[in-house]
Amino acid sequence: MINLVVALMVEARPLVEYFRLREDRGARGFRVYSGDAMRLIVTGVGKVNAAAGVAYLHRFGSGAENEAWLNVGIAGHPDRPLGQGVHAIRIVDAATERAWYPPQTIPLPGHPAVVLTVDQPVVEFADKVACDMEASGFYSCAVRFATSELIQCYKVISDNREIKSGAVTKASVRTLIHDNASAVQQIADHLRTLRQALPANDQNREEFERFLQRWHFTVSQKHQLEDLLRRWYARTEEPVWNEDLNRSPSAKAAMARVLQRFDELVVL
Amino acid sequence: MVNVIYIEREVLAHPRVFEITGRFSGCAEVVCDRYTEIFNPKSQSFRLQKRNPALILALKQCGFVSQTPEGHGVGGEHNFYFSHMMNCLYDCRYCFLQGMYRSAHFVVFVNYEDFEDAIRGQAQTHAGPVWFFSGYDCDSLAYEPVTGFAKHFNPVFAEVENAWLELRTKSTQIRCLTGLPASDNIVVAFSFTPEPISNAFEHKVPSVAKRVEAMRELQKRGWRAGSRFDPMVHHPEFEAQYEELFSQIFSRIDLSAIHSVTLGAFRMPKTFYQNLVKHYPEEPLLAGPLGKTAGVISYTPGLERDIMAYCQDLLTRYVPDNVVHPYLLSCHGSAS
Repeated sequence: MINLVVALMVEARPLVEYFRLREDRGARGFRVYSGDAMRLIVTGVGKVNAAAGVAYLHRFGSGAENEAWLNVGIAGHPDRPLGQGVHAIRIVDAATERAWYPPQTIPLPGHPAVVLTVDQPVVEFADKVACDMEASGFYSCAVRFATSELIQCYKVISDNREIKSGAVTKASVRTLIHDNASAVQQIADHLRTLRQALPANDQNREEFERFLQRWHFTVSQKHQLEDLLRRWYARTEEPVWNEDLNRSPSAKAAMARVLQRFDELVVL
Repeated sequence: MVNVIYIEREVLAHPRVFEITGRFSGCAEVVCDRYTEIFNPKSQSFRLQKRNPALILALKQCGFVSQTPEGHGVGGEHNFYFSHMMNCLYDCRYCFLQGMYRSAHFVVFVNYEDFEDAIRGQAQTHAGPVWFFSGYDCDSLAYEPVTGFAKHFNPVFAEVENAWLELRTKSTQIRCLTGLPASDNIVVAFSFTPEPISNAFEHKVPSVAKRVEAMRELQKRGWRAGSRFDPMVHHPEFEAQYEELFSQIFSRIDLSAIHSVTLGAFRMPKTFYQNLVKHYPEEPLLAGPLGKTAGVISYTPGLERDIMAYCQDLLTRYVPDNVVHPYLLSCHGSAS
């Protein structure tokens, strides 16, 4: 699942169209759109809204760990041309000076840039950084729900020293995001591939539940069972469950039988 | 291939930073305050980062040399280790670094001169030989073309008579040494596991044959070389595998010139092991047969003793007892 986080409806619209997302009427407080393994939330402007949006989308969705998160939006930069895409290599919160470094594990389109999250729109650019208003809130909240390699931030330059932020219109934002939708798609595809490289947490869930239905396990025995099933399937594809095991009188006896068979397996 | 280099602000003007960054064209350079901002945060996946680690250039602030854990050494009385680098180019599934660090990025501490001072200082406080092991938190030679570590420390150890350096490696990056006169107090120690184990668990590592050739080449040029069989990995065919491995190595090298051989069975502190299992739950190596001894996950004491005894016995065919240094967990009770 890819979670797209955008601040404004005008930024969301081209992405909703590009990815053919549909509004999810069950959402409250935020507009949420869903489609094929993708969700999009419109958070409103600012880092607090961005953080709240991430938290809401996490709960609204599956609540699963390690989904991918991508913040897309516009940013100002002193000398980068309008429409150029940049990916955040360092995110700095201007108010607290706290910094985050999204790991660059996948090939990301656009130029690497430092993204400075400010509380008020920037009139004069002081440094050669991309200025936005959401990235730090987005990132600091998303790292609570996913490993940082799966959290990225992609910004499209909307204004610079030549063309001031006052000249940015709804129509221009729409065009800027629309023109970068394929770059967003590229990042989403890479994030999906990267996510697949993580081990599945619930690999043996079905088997685990079967044991729990058959016998009573204490909390400590449940942990032992989880570990035992992990070790079993690391060694063999042979199903752990068989008739002999099914005849075990207790959880303890069942685990002892599995352990005995486990010890007979080879390492490689 | 590194595509991002993080550089601590404090070392931006360090000559070694210019040298290293000069080797990477088209790399994004990002300035940070401390390397720990990137290396230490909780929400990181060692497994994902290992696919494409970044390079971090940093300043080591303190703790330049540390005492080695008990039982780790090659016969010397005073043993220390130091780490100019954290993490390794290779991806060995049994490596404790995967469980120790949150990040797979390569950290290189560029202030070699501070390590040098600490080594000289430590050597001065002892009358006899003092050993310094450089391959605890990284491979000593694998990143040599970037770090120039061995090239730098070779003359340092030439100057300090009672200081001995062990360069521990799985790499074949020996050009930095073969071009120099052999040093009397540097031992290049090559780590080995049997070929099938290496193929299964040591990703990106040069073949056993290539490492043996590198060892042979160094010996021919007068360098002291050693072999390290640590960790030894259990397998139903481990006896045949180690027999083959020892033959493969010791039939090719000059046995009269071998400096030392160490061996120790697979082991790891429990917390590191637990982290490793989180990263690689599907890994057969981590499935067992393992037990816990004094907070360390390892083979059961009986199995450990069997592996060690068999290999020690096998080694007597090739090398004298006095160069063999076994590490038996059941005798020491802890591991690095």
